[in-house]
Amino acid sequence: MPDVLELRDVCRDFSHGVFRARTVHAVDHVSFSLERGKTFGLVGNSGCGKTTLSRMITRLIRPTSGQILFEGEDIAALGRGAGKAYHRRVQMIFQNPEASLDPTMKVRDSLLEAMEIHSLGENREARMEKIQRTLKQVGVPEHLLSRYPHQVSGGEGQRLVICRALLLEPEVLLLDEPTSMLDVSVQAHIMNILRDLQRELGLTYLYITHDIELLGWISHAIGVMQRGKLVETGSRDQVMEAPRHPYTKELFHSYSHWEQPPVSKRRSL
Amino acid sequence: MTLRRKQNIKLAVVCTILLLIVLMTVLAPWLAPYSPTQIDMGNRLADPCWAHPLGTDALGRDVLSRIIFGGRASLLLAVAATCCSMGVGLVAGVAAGYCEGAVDAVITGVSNIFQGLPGMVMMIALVGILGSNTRSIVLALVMTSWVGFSRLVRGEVLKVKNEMYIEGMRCLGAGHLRIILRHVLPNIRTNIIILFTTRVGRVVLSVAGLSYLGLGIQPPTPDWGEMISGSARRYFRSAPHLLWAPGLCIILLTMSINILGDLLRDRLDVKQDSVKEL
Repeated sequence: MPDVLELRDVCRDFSHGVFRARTVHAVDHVSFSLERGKTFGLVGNSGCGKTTLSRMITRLIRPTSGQILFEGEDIAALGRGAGKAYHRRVQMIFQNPEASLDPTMKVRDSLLEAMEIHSLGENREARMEKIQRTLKQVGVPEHLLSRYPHQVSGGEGQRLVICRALLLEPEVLLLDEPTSMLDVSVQAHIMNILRDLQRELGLTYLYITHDIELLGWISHAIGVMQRGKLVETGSRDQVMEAPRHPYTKELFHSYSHWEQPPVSKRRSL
Repeated sequence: MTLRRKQNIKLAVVCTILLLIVLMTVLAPWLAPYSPTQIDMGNRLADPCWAHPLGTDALGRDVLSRIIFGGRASLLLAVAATCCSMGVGLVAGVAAGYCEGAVDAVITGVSNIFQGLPGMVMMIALVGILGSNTRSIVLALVMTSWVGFSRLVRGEVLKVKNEMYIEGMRCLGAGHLRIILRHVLPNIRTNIIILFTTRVGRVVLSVAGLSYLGLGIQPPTPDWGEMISGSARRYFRSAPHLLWAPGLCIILLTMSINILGDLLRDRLDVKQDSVKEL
């Protein structure tokens, strides 16, 4: 299968201080690619550049150098129409579900708006029908639609955000620590939904996390980041069982039971 | 009594007062017993009596009629001027906050200059140069008060802009105009409404102040500010009603507007609302 998304030698610097003399290399020559229908897990501690990376992939910021290719095309060079289409095909799921929905809008309106932007569905009825179908897929009761984001729980909120992304029929989901703010039982539920969706719809995931257990459970390939650099990358088994880089070794050292399926273990809690 | 109920009562009272004032000014020609400009030198400085419930002023004009008409100019001026300065401030503030960079630097620089100028002095100068008609008064009020709006809006936009949901909208492919109109502005509306209402109150006072200096609404047009400032101060020992009647009106108006602003803030803040209900 061809790669959906490919990063080639991507760098991003941030300058600050007097005369912008001090430069931080937030992302430093990172290259990897996402295979269609698979999950690429990106792991690393806080501040290692994972989020900067996802912001570049969503075109919120531009890389200082390097290229991000979506189906072989540089996303920096996309025109207006193609850029919009890209934003439909590559969706982002943030860490905090409540913060990723507009607090002044009811959930229903947020969901409708996403479809409106891309002119999906002929009229309101058609859109509502699609929303109802998608809500069933992620297992959220319909009555939540008339609530405000702060009136739904974290797990429900995250499922609504996933629902909003699915409404646009995306191909790639960027998951930026989607479950780190949820408690363990809800976490397992969201992860199961994500895995089922991947199987059903053939979605490609870039899963950004620092939760090693979940990483091992959902990923097909893993990349390890440290201070802006991708220090190790390979298939899940290779990276987890036979890490080569000292940082990777340290990262997986404390975690010795990953052969057991962690999610089912968690569910029984 | 719950907080919500208390608020409702307050809101009802304040709205009634404001509604009465507005109705009074709109229906002035039918409500006023006399013409506000009708001079009766034979009946100067009359005490309140049946014929003149609030007495007459130094030129024998009926004070009640002048009060009924007097809200017109002040209110209209205040609302018009505040709307204009809010318009200017909104555009400048959103542009500065949303675009950042060079646009922000220019707008902030200009607004710093405007903020450095003393408001009242500038108003006096402008009205002095342009002549004291309604247009120049509105212009002077806008020039001195748009900075307040643009600074507030800029700050709020900067704050909201970095919220996750705005980034989320950009990730969804929403255009800048949609983001500004449907997500940024609704999220800062509370503060804008509060500032608007308090500003209207303050502008009523500014107009009164200008009238006091003889630069605002020109006699013989009746105006509350002008009523306090004119001959009233010379005669207030013998005819105190010349002062307290229009003064009370100004206080009632500005206070109701300010309280309305506070209540609106509480009511419009969706989040705060739910916390209270818990």
